Amino acid sequence: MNPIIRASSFVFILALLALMPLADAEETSSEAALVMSTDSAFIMQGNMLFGIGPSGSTGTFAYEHLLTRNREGGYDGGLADSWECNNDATEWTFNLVEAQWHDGEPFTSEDVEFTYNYITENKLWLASVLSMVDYVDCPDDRTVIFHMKSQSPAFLDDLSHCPGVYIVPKHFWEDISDPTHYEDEEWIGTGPFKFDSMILDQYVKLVANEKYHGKKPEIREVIIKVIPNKDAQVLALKSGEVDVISDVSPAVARSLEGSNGIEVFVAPGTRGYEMGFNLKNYPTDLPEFRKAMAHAVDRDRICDIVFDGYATPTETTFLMPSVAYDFVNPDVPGDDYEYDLEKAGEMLDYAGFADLDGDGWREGSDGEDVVMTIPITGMGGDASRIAEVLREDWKELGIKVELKQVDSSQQQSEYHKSNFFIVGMPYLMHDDVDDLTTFEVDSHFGTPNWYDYDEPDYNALAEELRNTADQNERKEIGYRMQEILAEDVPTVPICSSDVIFAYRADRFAGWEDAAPLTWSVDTKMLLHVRRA
Amino acid sequence: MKAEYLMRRAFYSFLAFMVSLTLTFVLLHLMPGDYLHSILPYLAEKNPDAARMFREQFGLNRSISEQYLLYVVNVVRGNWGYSFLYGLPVLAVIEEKLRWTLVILFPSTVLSILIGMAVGAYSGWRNGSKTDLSVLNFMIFVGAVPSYWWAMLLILIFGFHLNLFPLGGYASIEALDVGVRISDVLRHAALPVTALTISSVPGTYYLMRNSTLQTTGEEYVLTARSKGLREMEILRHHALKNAMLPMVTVIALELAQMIMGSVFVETIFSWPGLGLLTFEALRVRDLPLLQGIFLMDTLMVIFANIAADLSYPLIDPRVKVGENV
Repeated sequence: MNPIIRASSFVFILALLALMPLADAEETSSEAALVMSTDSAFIMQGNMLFGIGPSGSTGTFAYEHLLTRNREGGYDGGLADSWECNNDATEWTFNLVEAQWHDGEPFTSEDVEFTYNYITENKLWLASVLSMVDYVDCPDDRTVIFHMKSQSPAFLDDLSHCPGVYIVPKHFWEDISDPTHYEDEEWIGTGPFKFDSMILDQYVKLVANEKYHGKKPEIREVIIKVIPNKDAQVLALKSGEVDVISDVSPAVARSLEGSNGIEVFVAPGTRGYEMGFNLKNYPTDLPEFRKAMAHAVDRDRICDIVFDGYATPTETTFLMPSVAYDFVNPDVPGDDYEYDLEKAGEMLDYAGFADLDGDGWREGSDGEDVVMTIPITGMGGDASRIAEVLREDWKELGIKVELKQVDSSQQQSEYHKSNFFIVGMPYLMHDDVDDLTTFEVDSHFGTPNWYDYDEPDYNALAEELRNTADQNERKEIGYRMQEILAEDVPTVPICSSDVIFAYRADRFAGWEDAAPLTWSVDTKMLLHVRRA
Repeated sequence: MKAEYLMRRAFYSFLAFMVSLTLTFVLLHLMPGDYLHSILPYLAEKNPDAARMFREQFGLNRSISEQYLLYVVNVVRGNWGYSFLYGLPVLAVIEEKLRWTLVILFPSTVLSILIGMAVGAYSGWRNGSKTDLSVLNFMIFVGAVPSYWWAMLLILIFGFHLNLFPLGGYASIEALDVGVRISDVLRHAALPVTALTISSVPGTYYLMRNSTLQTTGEEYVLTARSKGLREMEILRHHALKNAMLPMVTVIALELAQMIMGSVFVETIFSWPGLGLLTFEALRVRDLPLLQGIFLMDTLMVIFANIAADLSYPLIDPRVKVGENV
């Protein structure tokens, strides 16, 4: 053998051998700490007011909202323990809890007022969430009043989630003049977990806040470990390096079931999937066509094939009954659009879409084969797999489906150029009557809705809803809006999918006691976790 | 003459840098999509007010030509802008990640060059022999397998099943208490370095093999043989030295290119390097960061070229840098 080869091989093997003995102690999470994985490192940088903090980030465990949305359709107290509004919802009063910042300073209503003023004066993007607020005042240390510019019955939603407004300490932030470029290294909040230390791009260590004003955490330490690759996360769980992984795919969940010491559980109905039509482009601009296609969605098959059973068919117009409760109009029967390909075929024939040349594909009024386009970002995602199931089904119906690959940042503009799209939104977008304004023309700040849906009666109801504070009246308006949606069919609900978590049952328990709001472990969930 | 050459070289390098800067700026701004739509699509769609405020903050509401001029002036002054994603100066973010990339890239490049050159020279010298053919076919196989596959294989065998090395990252969890130790980093770097080495050896091997092949027919080799020198001596003292020259340029450029090429290995091993950063920046359309990364790569290619040119006379004294330019 060439001496150079011999020498380099020798050096290489020697280097490997030299490093091996260091690895004899198996790398496991420390006994006391709970280790959970996250797929992005940027959660540990920036600050709470400027960064667009994803759920599960360092700050979300350290800071708190005034209140948080819960899965029962209401709100849990955060820094406020009660709240009320006047009759026309132009004034919201919050009664605050007695709490301490992590550095020992007392939390007062001045901090809330400061947070509002700081966000608006510095023109941070969060100011858009608070755009309806005229001013904030504090009658005393424990009370804060938001004076609104107009009726704002949905103000609690704005404050509480997606992303909501986290309250920051005045004594700390008043000296920070450039929040856009400020990197928080202390994360001083009031939350149940305090920031302890960090290894950049690798770990964040949080410790329990012994002086927390609410339910105190049962675990003393939580470590967030950055693992960008999903497969590597699964290996880390199996080897015991991490204790919980979230948003697991159904296929991986099946493979983990029965693994030694690992349990799988689901947070039901966390994403709501719908098939939205574009009402400007042919042929989905024709109501008869849309109604026919609404009968051609095999929800059960989609739940089985795409979600491996981790999903439930949804048949209401837009709101999900499991989370929207009595906001769902019981007189708008979802089974109006049950799966029936034969019926869909008959309806298409009646609407003038028949296969006249006998080539197996239906032609439209222009004599051309009907081709439905759908924008898809990347292959293998839920939306693309649902589209594949539909393409196969609709082939039988004589309707061609064309999958158009687009960049994720272009996806939404493509909705306006295609015939239909599949979207999976957080259930929080399907739980309140206010979410029905999604279908209002130019629904928010003047931009057209995804569906290019423009129905004057519906728009008028949306406007009425915005100016109505009484809950019963809002419900009634919502019922009428759902009736219009059922008639016009701008969207066909498909299913609500579960979010799957896998955890080491031999180390920690209590994961299933509080389902998270989204697809990652959140503060409420962590507060219920305890040693196994 | 040499000083004049260096001046001229510096001028052309600066020109190349400015052209690259312009191209990067234009291409990235032609790319569809923007940061806000990528990171929080629903918010951007539902609340254009947030998008407007964001654009004002980063000066994206100015005209493209204005943005370009500002960018050029700032880059020349050493201000590469702020990353949307991190809210930190671009250079600081790149510097942090580049350090980690070099931790795995430097040893793997040195190893792959050593192994590739040694095996390539031997294989080229023994052109057509059974050993050459087996090595060639083996290298074709190694080169055909993607780097992420090697990474997964190594992680599964040495990390998961044999538990000899960590599964990923650059530090153990204990680092939170005791700080990051060099030995710990080395242990974490072992598998990524191996994966990168395996995937880059074939490239060096092919080049060296071809380069050696070209020298085998040279007259000085024939002369050496006729003098009765042993084959290995001819290879070491005559053929190898001459075959090295074209390798220098290629190796220098390879080093600059590999920085971007390690994205898969970095993702699988949770190694927070420049490759992973590029991927993330591209995904969320963090334009200042992407521009910074590409400019950094341009700088590396420029410096690698200059370094290769300057190192020619060291390998071959007949080459005089700066003459006949």
